[in-house]
Amino acid sequence: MERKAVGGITFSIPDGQFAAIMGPSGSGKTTLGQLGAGLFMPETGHVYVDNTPTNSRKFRSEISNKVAYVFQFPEHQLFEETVFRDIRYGLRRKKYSELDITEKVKDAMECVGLSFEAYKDRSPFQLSGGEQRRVALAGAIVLEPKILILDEPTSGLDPLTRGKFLALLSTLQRTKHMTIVCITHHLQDALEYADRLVILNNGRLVYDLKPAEIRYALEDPAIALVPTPLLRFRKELEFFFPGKIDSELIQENKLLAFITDRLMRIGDEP
Amino acid sequence: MTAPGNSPSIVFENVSFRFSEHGEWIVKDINISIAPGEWISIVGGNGSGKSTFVKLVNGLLQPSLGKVLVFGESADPANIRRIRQLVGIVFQNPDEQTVGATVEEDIAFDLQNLMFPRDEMISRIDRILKMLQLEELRYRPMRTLSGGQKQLVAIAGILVMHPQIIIFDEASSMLDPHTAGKLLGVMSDLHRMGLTVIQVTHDPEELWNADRVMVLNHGRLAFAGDIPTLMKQSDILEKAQTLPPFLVRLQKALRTKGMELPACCGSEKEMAKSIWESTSAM
Repeated sequence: MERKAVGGITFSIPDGQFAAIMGPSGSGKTTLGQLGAGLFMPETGHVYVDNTPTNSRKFRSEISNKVAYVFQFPEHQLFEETVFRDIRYGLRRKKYSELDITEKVKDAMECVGLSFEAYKDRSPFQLSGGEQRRVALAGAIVLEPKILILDEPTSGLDPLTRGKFLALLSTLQRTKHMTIVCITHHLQDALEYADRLVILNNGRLVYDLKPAEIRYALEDPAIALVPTPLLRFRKELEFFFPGKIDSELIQENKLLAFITDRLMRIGDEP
Repeated sequence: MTAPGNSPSIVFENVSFRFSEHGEWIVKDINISIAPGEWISIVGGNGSGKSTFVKLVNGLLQPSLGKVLVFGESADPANIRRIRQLVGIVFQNPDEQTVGATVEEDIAFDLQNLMFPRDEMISRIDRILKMLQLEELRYRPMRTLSGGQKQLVAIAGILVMHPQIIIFDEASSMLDPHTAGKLLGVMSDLHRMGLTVIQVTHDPEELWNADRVMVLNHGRLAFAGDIPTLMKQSDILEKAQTLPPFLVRLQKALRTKGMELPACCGSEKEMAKSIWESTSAM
């Protein structure tokens, strides 16, 4: 019997939102992302990108101009001789001057933490796995899409690069009003950066929450979400400081500021 | 296969590696000796030489300078068959390391290549499937497995060769947290059984099980030692493009802000209690 990868899903993502798609392996996250990018057509139902239906060949180029999709193994998408040529590949049909192209490639490389001078002439095939991933991501960012869908973009990146990359997505969202859809296993990353958590299980959308509401999904044994060290620590803090720990405190910097600005001053309170 | 006498499981003597004669050094001047049964976690930024290090251990790469010894034997091409049996590597992407049509065929692949007798093959596969709780999957086609299941089958394919050293090169980075936790449990079991476990990871929270941590920074060994020593000088991690675990980051940040905390709070509960005691004393 064939199993549906996803079924009965109805939801919409407003312009400029940062949505994290989560759920166990095999829950349909990648399928959902690829449906959103118009890479698959739904068997039943409709997918709209910026009010344009994806299931018509007529609108295909319109959709591909709006959406950039970064696959789970972006390094498998690398094929040019140099890093520079690989990143500029998507710009080849756009009417930019060579100078503009160089500027855009340079900006995209700096965005993902690759020094333009140090990497532009290197072969993508002699880079480490994490460096290759950054090259592939620069290739998507350089297109300046309206919607960026990324499938597990940070796996294989070192923690500092990962933090910088997620901060970059957040900046793209804020400054360019880009819609970011990020498929991820990292709950803490989602809590730090996303506006919304869409949680799938067995191909169904089971939770659609604000990050501060994560406790509802954590309390559900069917979802098998593992609390992050920060969430476990927050729970312990609630025990020692009952009624004082706000549910919004799910980000490391906010929690630190709360401890130093509020808890450390409890003795000062009248 | 039994490992030779009292030799360390892995020795690197002044090892450096680069892909070509005038290329950049990928690892440089590495000296380390790893005891049999030790659990070593290797951390470092992208391009710091972690994967190159593990490939030098099992002879997938040969050092440009220096010597790599595995249980006292040089990991050079003359010994490669024996070294590969002593050292198994589990990589990040299970799809790139499984070859059989079914789970059983995949696990049997290396044994078949080495022409093991059929009875011996079956008894080894039986034992490993039981140990990893994969018995129900034995006749399943590989293509129907989830990523986590495939990763466990890849581990089974390595364990049937009875290695003395097992290397996990970011083996949990693609798995969901639940499955990653299960994989960590398997690593602990193998460590308890006496295997040398080498774990390359980007997740600072995965360091706590290690006997020693190696920090690589631009191909050089910036630190090799136990966790308490490393956490006292956690700047080493940040300089190597990585991070200390959450609790260590938090303690460091709170101390910077003037909070007095005991030397090391190893659990979330201890940490919360220390903060409560510290604020109560103010």
